[in-house]
Amino acid sequence: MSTDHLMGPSSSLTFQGVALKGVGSAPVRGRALKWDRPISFLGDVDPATGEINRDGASGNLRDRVLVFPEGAGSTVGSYVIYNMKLNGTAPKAMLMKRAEAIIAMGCIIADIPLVHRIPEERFQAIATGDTVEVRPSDGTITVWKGVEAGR
Amino acid sequence: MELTREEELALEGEEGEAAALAMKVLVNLGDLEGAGRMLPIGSAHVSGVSYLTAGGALLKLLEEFTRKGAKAKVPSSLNPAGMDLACWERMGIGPFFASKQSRIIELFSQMGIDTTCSCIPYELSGTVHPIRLGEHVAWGESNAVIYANSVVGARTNREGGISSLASAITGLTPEYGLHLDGGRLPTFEVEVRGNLSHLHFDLLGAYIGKNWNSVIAHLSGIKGRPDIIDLKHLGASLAAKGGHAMFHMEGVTPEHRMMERSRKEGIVRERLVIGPSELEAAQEDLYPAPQKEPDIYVLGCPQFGPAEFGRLHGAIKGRKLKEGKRIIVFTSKAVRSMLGSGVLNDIVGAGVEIYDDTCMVVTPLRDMGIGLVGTDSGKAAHYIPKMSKVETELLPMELMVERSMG
Repeated sequence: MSTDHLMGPSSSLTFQGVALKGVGSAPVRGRALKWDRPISFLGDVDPATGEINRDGASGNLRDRVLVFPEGAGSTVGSYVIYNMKLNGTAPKAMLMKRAEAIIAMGCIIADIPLVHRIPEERFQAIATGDTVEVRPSDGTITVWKGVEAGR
Repeated sequence: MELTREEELALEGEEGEAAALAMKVLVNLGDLEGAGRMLPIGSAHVSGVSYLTAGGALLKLLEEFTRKGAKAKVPSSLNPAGMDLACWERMGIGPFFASKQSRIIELFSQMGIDTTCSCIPYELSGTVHPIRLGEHVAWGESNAVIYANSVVGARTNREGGISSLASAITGLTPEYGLHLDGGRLPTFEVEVRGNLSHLHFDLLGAYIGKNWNSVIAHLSGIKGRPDIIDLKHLGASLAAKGGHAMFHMEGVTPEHRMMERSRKEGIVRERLVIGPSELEAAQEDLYPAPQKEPDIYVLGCPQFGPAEFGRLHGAIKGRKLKEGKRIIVFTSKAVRSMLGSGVLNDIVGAGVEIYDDTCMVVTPLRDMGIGLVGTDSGKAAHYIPKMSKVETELLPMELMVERSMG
């Protein structure tokens, strides 16, 4: 499906975050999964399936661009992220407001691009189903609203 | 972060793929934490060793590191494994768990890391690199971190399994937090009134840790000189309940005079006055007691050192375990080698089981047929109910000996 004509500057949003150094190389693109609460990968996420379940909310992280505020919980969470990569259930990339060591260590060993320090208003503007492109080399993020655009 | 030419080259792969990955871990950690540069370290203590906690992902990560040629660049040691590496069958561990755990240790060994498997590297200067006042190290294992910073005055942040391994491989750690003078200043003051028993130190650490997260406490007023067991247990409880990485104790720890600078700079936020009666009143909230009295008691969290063996030996006084009762001690071969054979023979002769290389927090207790335990450790009583879903009573070592020996 060619939808390139829909991707004009008026329908997309581009901004900058801070990318982990040396993690990922080529730009990755995928549909967003937006999670508004901190994520503890140990406990909230099943690495066998990619399912996330917490407080009645659920979703699947597999091949998504995971957008969430921050990490929480045990340091074993880094290994859960690595396990997801090995199982093929990992997100394609992660966007965060605030990164900390547990998530960052997991993304480094799993080679999953992570861009953090996403400004609050940009974070609010991204919704589940949007198409997001992440450029690991410089932390550039482009968001196309809606499911179809940019695919 | 400002990297030296050598560090840049390592990051680009000059020293091999494993060193590049390890350097990538540390550079990103340093960027996240606002570090300015890398510091050379004297030793690394690698946590995340038990198959119970990190499982198959740890095994696969270690396979990847060894395939890429990972070698420890500085003296490095390991945290406890999930079983006694020699006597796992006697412990009740299954062959699947045992083969995975053995492979994990084999991979660490291929990297040139000492496989003593101990959470008290600070007591093992004969086998592991000894640490000194002011020395920078990169240690995982929260009780070892708080002991190294507080009692020895070495400098380490609370490293995780991945960052401590990366530091072992590179011999470096990013400079931030507890590596800097400003990160070691007390921010919280505790005045202790009255005489403390051994168990009071566990309760004191748990009480402060639970109510004041991640502060550096300065303790004063403690009567007599706390022994190594008290200092180990206080630190382990502060770290387990509150994520603390350092404490100061007036007249005892080497950097306790930092309090003067904290006062001058006005950064001491709160002051707590506490004594034995308040600590005993808090015990039920910190460690709710099970309805039933346990038949099985576990000792050695942190692992038993020579002082604890001496104390247990003194408490037993030639008695033997009663039918149906068990006391299990966790330690390491390195500690056993420091003991006189008389002490060990007496303790084993009383019916006490001793295991090396592991501890009750990282071993699968339910596989060992354990559903209710007593322990003298505030740290173990915090983690066992969470990790193994086993109800746990906190009580002094002497009381468990009274209950179970005759």
